[in-house]
Amino acid sequence: MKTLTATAIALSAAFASFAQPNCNVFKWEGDSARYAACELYHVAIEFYQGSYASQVALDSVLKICPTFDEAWRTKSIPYLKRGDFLAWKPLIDKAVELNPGEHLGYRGWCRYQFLRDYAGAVRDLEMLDSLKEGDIGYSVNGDYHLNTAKALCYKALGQKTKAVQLIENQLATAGYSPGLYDYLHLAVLQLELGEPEKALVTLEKQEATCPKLAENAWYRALAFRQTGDSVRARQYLALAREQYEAGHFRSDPYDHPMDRVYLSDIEREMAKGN
Amino acid sequence: MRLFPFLVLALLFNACRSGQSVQDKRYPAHVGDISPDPKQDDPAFTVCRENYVPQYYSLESGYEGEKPAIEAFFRKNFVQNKKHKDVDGYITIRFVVNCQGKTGRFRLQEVGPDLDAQQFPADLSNQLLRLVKSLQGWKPGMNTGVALDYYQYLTFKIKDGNIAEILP
Repeated sequence: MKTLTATAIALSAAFASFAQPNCNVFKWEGDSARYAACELYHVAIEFYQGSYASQVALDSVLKICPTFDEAWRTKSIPYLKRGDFLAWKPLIDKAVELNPGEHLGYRGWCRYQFLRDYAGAVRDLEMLDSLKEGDIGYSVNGDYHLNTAKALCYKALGQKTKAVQLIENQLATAGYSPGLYDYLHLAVLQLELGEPEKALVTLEKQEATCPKLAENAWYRALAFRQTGDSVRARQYLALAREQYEAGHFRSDPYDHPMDRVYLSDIEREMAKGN
Repeated sequence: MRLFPFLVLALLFNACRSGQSVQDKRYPAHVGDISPDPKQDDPAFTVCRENYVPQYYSLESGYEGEKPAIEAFFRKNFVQNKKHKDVDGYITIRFVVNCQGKTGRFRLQEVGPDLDAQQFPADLSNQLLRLVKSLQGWKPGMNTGVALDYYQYLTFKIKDGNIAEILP
């Protein structure tokens, strides 16, 4: 199940990671170079991401229209995913320079996801916040609102109370539907701040958002252990292991998400007994 | 004008069909491809399919004991040199895991905190390279029950000369 999902995500991401531009807009604006580049861009993204044909086709797009920011970003992606950060950076920087409102959120998210560059990610996301009126949007994989991503960065930088505030503010935003893991991360923060009762309430909400998740059972076990309820702690540890072994745990094809649990963590905790 | 993309497409298809002989030097067949280099690679290391080495994220892959086992290995074996207290940045080591779970073709990239080129102290980079080469738990890639080779990388986020995080 996990593998199938990961493969599906990886394949879909390989071919179409972002909303694609509508070329007709450029035609209506009378920008013929941009229109031609856009048409060719749609051809380029049909090639396998990072292939010779793809990169050469993107170069052709940029030759016609060097300011076509989507092509800069698309060209950068395979370098990022394959760990060539030296090649990735100038390409994504160019996209951001040309269209910061569109690409700052992406670069910030990538700094967090691929590099755990928390300060760099916060800089990008704060800058995006200052540029954009209204909502700053979501991570490219759709898992997080960028304010939640920012909260995770602040947590890693040691500012846990600020991280809690950011997530709570996002959850309280009118019209916002909780992200898949918002409550999970909030609960972990509450646990880390020594508030297990609050964490248990938050984890109930997480259960409603995303049931059958080993992390949910795992953090419940830790919360019950903090409150001194070793019976329920053991029950939830057993449940965490069961769900983990069934493949129900946080995963991402590219990285290991923050606050995910591993089988070895669960087994080590179980071995402690009470 | 609408024909233009299709003409380019036809040219690219033609280039692909003609194989490596007409491919220029701008890009490898796939970004990140590592060509075997007898000067630095173990001659005993081979892959099952030279023309098809996918990335770790496009198939089932991983390490025995998952990421905590890798982190524990480096906690146990990495020795921080106190002279490197001001050294920050990222050291990435890319390599191939073959269809038997053996590793080879290691390549190293060093960048500073803002991803510009940066040379790290040689003893730090060499130690990480040696340790990555000694990791023994990589699983062969699997896709629909078939064992495959794949590209993997480990990035070490270095803070004050020590390993702050291991990615991905």
